[in-house]
Amino acid sequence: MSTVLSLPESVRDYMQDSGVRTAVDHLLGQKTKDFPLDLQWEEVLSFHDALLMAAKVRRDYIAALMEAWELVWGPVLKKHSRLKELPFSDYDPEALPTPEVIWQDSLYRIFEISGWQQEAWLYTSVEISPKDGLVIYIAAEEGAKNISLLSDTSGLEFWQPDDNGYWKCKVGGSINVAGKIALEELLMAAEEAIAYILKG
Amino acid sequence: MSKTSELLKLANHHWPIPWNKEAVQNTYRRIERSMLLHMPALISAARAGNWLPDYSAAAFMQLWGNLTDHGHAFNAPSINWGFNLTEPQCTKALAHFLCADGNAELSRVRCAAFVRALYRAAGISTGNCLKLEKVEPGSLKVEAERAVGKKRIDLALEWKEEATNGESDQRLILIEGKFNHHVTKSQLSIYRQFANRHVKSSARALFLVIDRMTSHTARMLNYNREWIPLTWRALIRRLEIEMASLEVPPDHDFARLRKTIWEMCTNQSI
Repeated sequence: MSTVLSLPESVRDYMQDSGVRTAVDHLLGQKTKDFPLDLQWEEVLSFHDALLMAAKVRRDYIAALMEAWELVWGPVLKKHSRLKELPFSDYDPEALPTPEVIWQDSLYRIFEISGWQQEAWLYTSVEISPKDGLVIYIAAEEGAKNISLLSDTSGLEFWQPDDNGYWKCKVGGSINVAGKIALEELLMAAEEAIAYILKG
Repeated sequence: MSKTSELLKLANHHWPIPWNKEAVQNTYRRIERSMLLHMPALISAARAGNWLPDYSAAAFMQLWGNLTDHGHAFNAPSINWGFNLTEPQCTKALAHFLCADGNAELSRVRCAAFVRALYRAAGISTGNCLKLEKVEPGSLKVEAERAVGKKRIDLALEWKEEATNGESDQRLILIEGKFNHHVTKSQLSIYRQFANRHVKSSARALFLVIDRMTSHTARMLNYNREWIPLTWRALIRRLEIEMASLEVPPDHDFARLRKTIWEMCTNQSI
């Protein structure tokens, strides 16, 4: 049976309806002290309802990313006993699963790779965008100088280098009209990347 | 002795309340025991229950109108020519769409929605405001960069109202728009004096459309109380709602301009 990620209605609306997306982006950019002065009293509760719904979209997006990660990266990473997930205290603050990092960047999960000559780390991330759908990334580094363990992606079927030292999966998890994402190719991509890194 | 004096005597009496640490600890233990006893049931109920609000896009529609409508500005891509529109380009483009390429009825209905949006965005109900409901045919004029002495006001809307007694009344709306720029000291008073020379005060309205209110702008407005301040984002929001309510035919390019104006505002603009 093929593996499919079903987006919640809120995330589907956000990804597929540019009107909803503009409204949500605007609302999530508001500070709690901000208030639109043109509102009338009868609209005040609507404003707070809209803020709540925007927060709901972000919460559901985070839930969708966590599920996507479990479905795509979870199976392959759990097979390898050499990988040990880092505690949040060892994360770079810019990779912590804060609302800001997840919403504006990605959901990151970082692992220590044991059995390497030096300390080594594996970085995985997932994000969903209206244009590309579900996108997965991977990076690996070793030592105090954070030397990348990834060489060029020639010979790999699913990966291409990204500007930030990551590999980005070439195949997308595009979102269909029902808000579903087929994950078959992404699963194969995850297998390919992990096999490449751990054999190194 | 009266009842009142008896009560006062009692009230003045010293009532010692000795501290009983054991009694407090016993009470706390009882509460804690009860909490611990019921904790598994509470945790299980919390996990089983759906504590999150149900999602509904209706919450956004109440603020911005029908976001699923293809004519809505939020559904249009903004203009991306590799540079930001300047203020004059923006107001000229706005004037262009309000003129509707010479289509008089389309121009009237767009302007009607625009004027209603100006008032609503300023938080003013449209009851006693200028309206474009009875415009004398051929009298509506929309002008960007209208010369006022040595200066130029961003946008001027002028029309004649059909009066029931057969006479016409001139109406004038002046709009000065600012994106991240200060209003200069004399600007507002010069434009008001210009309006004053043309129409009586009940037949005119002066709007200052700003990105956000700054202390400088607030001070300028203190000296120019006839000017009504509002933000661009509030204007765009109200314009979408008013255009839908007046059933203004959708126009993709006009929607793109509105979206562009929306995006030109800073995050601090609301």
